[in-house]
Amino acid sequence: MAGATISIARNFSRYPSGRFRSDGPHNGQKFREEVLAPAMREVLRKSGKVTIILDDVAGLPASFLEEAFGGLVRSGFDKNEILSHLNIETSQLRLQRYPSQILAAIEKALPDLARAG
Amino acid sequence: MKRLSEAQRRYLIYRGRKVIRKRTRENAKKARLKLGSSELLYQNFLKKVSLYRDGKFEQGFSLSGALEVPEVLSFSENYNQTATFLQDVRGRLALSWKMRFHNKQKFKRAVLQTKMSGVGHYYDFTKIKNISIPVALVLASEYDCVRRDHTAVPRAVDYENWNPQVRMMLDGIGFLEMAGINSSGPAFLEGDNLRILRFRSGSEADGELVDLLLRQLGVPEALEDTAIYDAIIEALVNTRHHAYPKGLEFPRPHFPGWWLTALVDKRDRRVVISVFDRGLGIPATLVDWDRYDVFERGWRRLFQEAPNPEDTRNDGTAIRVAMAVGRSSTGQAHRGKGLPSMEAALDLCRDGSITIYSRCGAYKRAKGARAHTLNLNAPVGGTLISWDLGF
Repeated sequence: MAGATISIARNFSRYPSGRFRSDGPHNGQKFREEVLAPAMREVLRKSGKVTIILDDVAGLPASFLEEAFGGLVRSGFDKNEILSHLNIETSQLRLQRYPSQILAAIEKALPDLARAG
Repeated sequence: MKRLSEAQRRYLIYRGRKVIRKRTRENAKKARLKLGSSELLYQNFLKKVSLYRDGKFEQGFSLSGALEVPEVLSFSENYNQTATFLQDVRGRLALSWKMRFHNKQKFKRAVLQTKMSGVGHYYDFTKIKNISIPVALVLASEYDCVRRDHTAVPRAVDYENWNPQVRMMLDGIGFLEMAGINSSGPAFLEGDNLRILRFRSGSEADGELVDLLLRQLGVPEALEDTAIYDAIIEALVNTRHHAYPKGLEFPRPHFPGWWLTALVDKRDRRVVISVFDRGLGIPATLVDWDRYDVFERGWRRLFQEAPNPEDTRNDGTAIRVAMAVGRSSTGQAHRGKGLPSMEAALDLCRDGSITIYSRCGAYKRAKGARAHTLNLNAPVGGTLISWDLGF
């Protein structure tokens, strides 16, 4: 089955921080627009899952996670489709709380009505 | 004796006055020359001081004398005097060079005649017996703004007579570099049981810099869990998004950023991390918050009236309500999780506390305990967040 694997530390940055592009170089908006959303579009087109590997990041601040993953819903992706095509993995104990935080950010996000037209 | 005519009498009076004027000028000139000696200058109105910059001392003078400084500079032990002192520092540093001296001509004359460097007023740091790291950071940020604004930077006066603990603390966080007194220094200062990190300042939420700071702490426990990293980043993001509203003009010198430093006490096994911004403060910027409607409901339950962002009397309560709103799961989760994630770092350590001073409010919560708040009489000059963690 086709799919995509994204390691945040290797494919984006070891130092996720900030929400918007203006916040700094390792922000959630940049991760979503340049890495996550293209991969999600691809798997939605071809089937499969996007697997996010969290290992080796310095941390995952709430604002980064919310903008990166909750922002998918605001930018037009269907919530249920995201949840059914997303897989989050980590082998490091210190990062164990983040998968549930990511799923919560997606669950609580609301579509941007302006975008929906 | 021949009687003088009217014309002769007028001539003699004129000549007498001319002689008197000439003698007066000559006497004044002699007096000026006499006052030109440095010793007499000191005796009359100058105070002898030593001036320090970049490892070099030189003799100088102070034109206007020393300004009083509290012996204890600590928000937790001596808040009112400390905050008032810092307000005074900010106000004086905000004056331009032209306005800083009451008598610019007198200063220029003193420089020419003594052939020494001088200062006008100066804060007598020799009087300080104790300074905490958060206060040192706030003080350093004021001088950093002056340096960034390219205004004339004050010198360190009587540096050799500063209390050694004060000197170590201020030198350790890089105060002398920040004030432009020293050109450079190492990343951290290490004493018998203390490691003090050089301050960092910036305007972006830079994760790489925060990670570097945590590694320089030399406390592996700070890296084992990501809570401290996340908490610091959220503090920087909050500064970026809320502290300096667009369109608002802040008095110069001004830098719309944050300042950060840390101290490790290896004997007591404690880490203190402080982040400061010179923005409006949490109580003043809540009105722009995404969750302001939830905050307002909570406020009305307490006070039976709408919150007034310009009223500072209940700033401590405002911070407490904002923290509670951030922790709650009701309402939109889009934004507003930054404040409670700053507290999450407490779970990492054996004990610890977070203290937030913002405008005229204080919020403190120790691990496992309820938060308590204070409404203060003097503003801190922005928002100061300090984590004091045991490991």
